[in-house]
Amino acid sequence: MATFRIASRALPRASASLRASAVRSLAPLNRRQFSVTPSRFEIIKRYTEDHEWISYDTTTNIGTVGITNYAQEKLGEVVFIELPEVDSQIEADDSIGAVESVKSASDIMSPATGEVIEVNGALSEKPKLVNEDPEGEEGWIVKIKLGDGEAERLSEELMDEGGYEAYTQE
Amino acid sequence: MSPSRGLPRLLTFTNPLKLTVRHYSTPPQIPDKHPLELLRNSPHRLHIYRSTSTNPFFNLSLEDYLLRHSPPTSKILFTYTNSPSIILGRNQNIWSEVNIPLLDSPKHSHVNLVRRRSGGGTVYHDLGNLCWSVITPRKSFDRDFYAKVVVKALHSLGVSEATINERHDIVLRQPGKDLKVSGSAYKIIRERAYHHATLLLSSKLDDIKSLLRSPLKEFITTKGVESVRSEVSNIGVDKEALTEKIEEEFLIANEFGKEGDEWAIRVTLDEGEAIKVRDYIKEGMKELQSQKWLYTQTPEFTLSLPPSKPLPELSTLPGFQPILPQNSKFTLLSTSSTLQNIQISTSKDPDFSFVQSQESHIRLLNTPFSGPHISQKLSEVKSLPEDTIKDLGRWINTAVGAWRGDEKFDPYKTDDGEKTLRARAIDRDEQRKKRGLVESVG
Repeated sequence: MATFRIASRALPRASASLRASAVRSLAPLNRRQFSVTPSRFEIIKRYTEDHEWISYDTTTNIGTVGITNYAQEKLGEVVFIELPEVDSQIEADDSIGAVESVKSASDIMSPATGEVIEVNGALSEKPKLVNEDPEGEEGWIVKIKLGDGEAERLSEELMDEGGYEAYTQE
Repeated sequence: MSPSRGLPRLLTFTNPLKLTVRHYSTPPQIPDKHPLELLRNSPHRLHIYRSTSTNPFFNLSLEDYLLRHSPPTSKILFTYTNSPSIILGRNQNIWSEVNIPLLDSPKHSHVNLVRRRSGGGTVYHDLGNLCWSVITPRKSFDRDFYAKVVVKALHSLGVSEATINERHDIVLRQPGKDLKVSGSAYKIIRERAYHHATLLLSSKLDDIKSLLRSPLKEFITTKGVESVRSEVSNIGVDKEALTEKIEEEFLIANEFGKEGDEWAIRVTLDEGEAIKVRDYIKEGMKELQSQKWLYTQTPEFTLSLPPSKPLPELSTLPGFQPILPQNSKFTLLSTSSTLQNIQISTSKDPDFSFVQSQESHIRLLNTPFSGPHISQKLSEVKSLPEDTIKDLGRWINTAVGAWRGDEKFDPYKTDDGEKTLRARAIDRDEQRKKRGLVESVG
């Protein structure tokens, strides 16, 4: 178990730009090096019906949240993002901020229950990052320390990439 | 009750309105309840509401209620008129958008200052203005669809030059230029969205121009949303006639009655009754009138006044234009409308200038961005020359103005000390969780 913990730290930070498929292809390498339980290393990305994404790995229990590329295309040029306060406790489905674009204010709902541990400060200088890189390293919105059992709940209840794609084409 | 086949009908209750387009036979039995109490479970696809109130805080809160409590697939048209009000977009800066000295002058003491929940720029409403709002499922959200519906209504009243520009606003197209007659804004939540807009029919255009021109604008840099100024005009049609036309076009655009038998709801809502049956509206009005919403919501901004240049003349201080000494610095950084970084100095000597900056920072830190507060704190800065501070304090006091609205606002407690809807929702959540925990342990 100890080996496993060190291994997780040596890994690059769970980042949203890594697509689920890319991460999976990395996993075997780690397994070879440290021979840990493979499932533990998976970075999971899920989507809400409100067009938010959350990506998290089960070792750190930290989820990164943003709005999807589909949402950003629909909203148009983002001019302002209201961010929540760091350390605030949030419940799944709470409004944790809002995106303003082309005269519309749209709520951002938290996919998960937990604590806001980081907000993307770069967005207050350059809100357009949400348009340019919505699901990547630049355009994420908040990082949440997931509450107990949230990781499992998200995996079960929210849509995966394929499910979300189908949902947006409905 | 045997409705005649294929005849679309409008179901009207409370003050019946004159129907111009549709006929109806005996309406279905209406339970003895307020229309807002029936909204949540209403089986009807199309709803039309009018508000008889001209209170902007009520109308915006009623709109928010309709947005959040209507059946997810319903479509709602809501029209209202506000008494004179300056209405800012959600993420805007009051001091760069509004001429505060003019708003504070006796001539305009009746004008409300309101921050709405939707995005976009600042608009001015008065009784010569008609607001329309369409609430739809989020999936059918479209920035132009209902603007086109309103344009159609205008065309049918003979306003043939009405069209939509690239900013989704309705304009009167003149040779060589567009005159804006309507400003749009949008709000999107989980399943629902609204498009609301103004329509200038016979507004006081001089008030729009003067009240929406801030003397501080050129000195403020904000991370928030800035308004785009446009040349405006009145349309000059009758409000009642236009409202009826818009209602008619709303039904046509949604193919009312196309599938055969259909009822639509048409209701006139009264402020007193609505508040009585729905605490949500009352609490929404309190929130909109709180300083927390009106001021603290302001995105981070910086006010920087230039040296050796007369400051702009304020409408209530004619001829008073103080000049900051050469080499002066005056910069206030404000977050949540509270001073977070202050740099004020007048001295040429870099060492003393540093002392001045330090002292002003310490004395003004965490001061609310309000005229009286800033000028009071300025007068306590000992290292700054007294006459400069006195003049500057007087100018800032007027230019920034005092805060309006309710100082004390508790989102979790009502005036009667009861729990608000928000507090009760949190309680319910916690109880649910506790029950879940007990069940899983059991």
